Amino acid sequence: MTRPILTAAAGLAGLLAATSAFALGGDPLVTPTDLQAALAAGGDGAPVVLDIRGEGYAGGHIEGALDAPYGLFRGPAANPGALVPVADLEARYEKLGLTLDRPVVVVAQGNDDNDFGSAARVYWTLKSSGFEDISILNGGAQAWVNAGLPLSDAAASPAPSELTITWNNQWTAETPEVASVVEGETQALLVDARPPAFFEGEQAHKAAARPGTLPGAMNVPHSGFFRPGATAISRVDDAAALKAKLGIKDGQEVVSFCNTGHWAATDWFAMSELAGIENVKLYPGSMVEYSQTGGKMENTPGLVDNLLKQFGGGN
Amino acid sequence: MTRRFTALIAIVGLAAVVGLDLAASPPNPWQAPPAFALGSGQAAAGGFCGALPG
Amino acid sequence: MTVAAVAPAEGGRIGTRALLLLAALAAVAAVALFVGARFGMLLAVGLGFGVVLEGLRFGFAGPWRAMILRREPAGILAQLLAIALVAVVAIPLIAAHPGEIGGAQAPIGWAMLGGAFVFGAAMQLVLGCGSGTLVNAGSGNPVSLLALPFFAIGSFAGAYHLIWWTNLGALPILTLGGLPGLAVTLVGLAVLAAIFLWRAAPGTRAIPGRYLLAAVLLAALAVANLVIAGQPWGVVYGLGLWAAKGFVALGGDLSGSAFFAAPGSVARVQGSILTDYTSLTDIGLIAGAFGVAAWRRGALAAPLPRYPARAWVATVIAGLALGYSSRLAFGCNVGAFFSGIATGSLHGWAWFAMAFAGAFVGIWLRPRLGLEARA
Repeated sequence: MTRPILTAAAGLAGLLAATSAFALGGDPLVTPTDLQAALAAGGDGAPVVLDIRGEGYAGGHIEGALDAPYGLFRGPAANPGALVPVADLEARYEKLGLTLDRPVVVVAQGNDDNDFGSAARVYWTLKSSGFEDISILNGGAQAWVNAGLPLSDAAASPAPSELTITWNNQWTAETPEVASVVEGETQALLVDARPPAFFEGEQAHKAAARPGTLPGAMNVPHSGFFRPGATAISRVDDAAALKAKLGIKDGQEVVSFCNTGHWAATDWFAMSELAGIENVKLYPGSMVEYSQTGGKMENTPGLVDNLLKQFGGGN
Repeated sequence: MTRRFTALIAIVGLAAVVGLDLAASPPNPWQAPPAFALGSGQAAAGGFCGALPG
Repeated sequence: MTVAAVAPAEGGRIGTRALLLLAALAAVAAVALFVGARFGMLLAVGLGFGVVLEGLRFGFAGPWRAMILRREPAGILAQLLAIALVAVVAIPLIAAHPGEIGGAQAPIGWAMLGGAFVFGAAMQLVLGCGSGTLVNAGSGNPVSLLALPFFAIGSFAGAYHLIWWTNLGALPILTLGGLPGLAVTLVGLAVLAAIFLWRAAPGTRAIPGRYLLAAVLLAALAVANLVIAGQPWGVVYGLGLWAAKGFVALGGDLSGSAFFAAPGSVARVQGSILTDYTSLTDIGLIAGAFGVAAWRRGALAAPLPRYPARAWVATVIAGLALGYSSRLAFGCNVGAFFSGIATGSLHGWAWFAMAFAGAFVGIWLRPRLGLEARA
């Protein structure tokens, strides 16, 4: 008797996929073929595609995709990771014609694992803004093209929408919160998503006041969530193993940071969205902002080391 | 009066200019460029009398 | 005088000299450590310029005056020699590394020519050019000391208005580049030297060893400046920057000036002067000259000369004129004449022609304004 039920269930699922609004089912990652299917299905709840590549948009994009360059979600050059003020963010969403209830799929270029960070950062921004159903096209526009799917040259011209957003702080750790962790007033696991050279203080972002990392931080490079050379992120099959590996206790707060909240967004995405670990936050301004506040840091080279380094090709 | 007086004004004035400037715009050694412009791979970008500002 | 009376004085002198060397080393090391290696090295180069110019009593205004008044070409020939030595290294180097290293290359224009003429006159008036005013102020010359702040203010004002002036009309930037450019530059310098030798008074053609040494050392320092900073030896930009920073500190607003509103200018006005190349050169010129004066036996014990009131007024005006005109002229004797010609810029040649003509006016004016000192 079980077999027919299963068959019926599968048939129902197939029916839903064919007719329902959105077949992505709240999965934070979507493959090119699944996205293609969901777009083809159409309907009121068909996903809206946010193309965040900027210049790449004009050279061909997924049909109907909106041109929403990464810069719309980023801060100024002196602090690229800074949050965009909520009022500005709201105006940008309205100009793009977005609504909170319609599913959104974020598309980055996908040339390398670095590109994934931009999609993750936009995902995090949308989620904190109150968007209900967000996915990242895993592997980006590159994966879409590699899957042999068509591109369009016609620029979308969305009708502006009207919406009101409030920032949900659940996934955000700002400088005062991070500083209180550094001072030992509150507890959290600090996760540095940058390549080891940055963690060790050998390299620094040009807008950072000093090289180095947060005292007590642990280095979990963002690239570790990808297979070597892969541009699509790996799914986290065993969340408990990941938690054990990182030493995250149940309910413990985790703060992911990097230079400007880009690579850290990948770590946040993997821990929070793929592994389902609760209480993982992103420090949007990250080390660029933190170092400018003059807070305590670790692995900052001494003045003499710093001087010698200037003779070896500089920072 | 001798030149000792005027030379001291010059050097004390210079120290004052540098001191006030250090207080107003503290330098950051961690953002220092490579020691030599030649071979740094970076475009020359200093202020110069013969150049219009970029 | 007994031996006993001399010994403590000599001991004190050695102590003073040790202190001077220590102070120079400490300053360079501190800047290298707390600001950056490049900036420490440029301060050292600046100190070197100050020590060479004051220590070997070499300059720009004096030799021009000697040539014009007494037809003694030695000093001006040494200047041309130094420029040629720098050109031999700098012009091929700029051709080989165009991104990393830039020359003192600026457009010839109406304001540039007029500025050079006024500068040439003003530098004879106070007998101090761009580098000379700083060096002389550091060694205690009261005229240069008074002229210096007004030089800075004038340089700031000139930069503030620079874009308006260049809009009056200018040619594109014309340069002599690569090996052909170097050849033309060297031939030009040789022709100029030949003219001065031809016009020389009898028995004045030999260049003293002191001048030759100065020319070689200046050339070496200028090349070092180019390699470290990526730009040639310059002076007036730094002084104008100091005045601009003072203007902002007093609540002034620079946004009305096309020059100071440019992003590069904004960054430098906000930054430390210890990260500005020409500022470091200027600091080095003053401090290096001070060091030589303090090092020398009795140099600081010389009494100050006396001048009539109108001489001080003339000094203030000449200081302002030096600063303002050197910005319009895209450099002073250092940035335009020395570095311009040495890096193949035609504006350096035009600057020299106009400033040398202006020098005749300055020499004529100097005694009439009471600037021939009565000791």
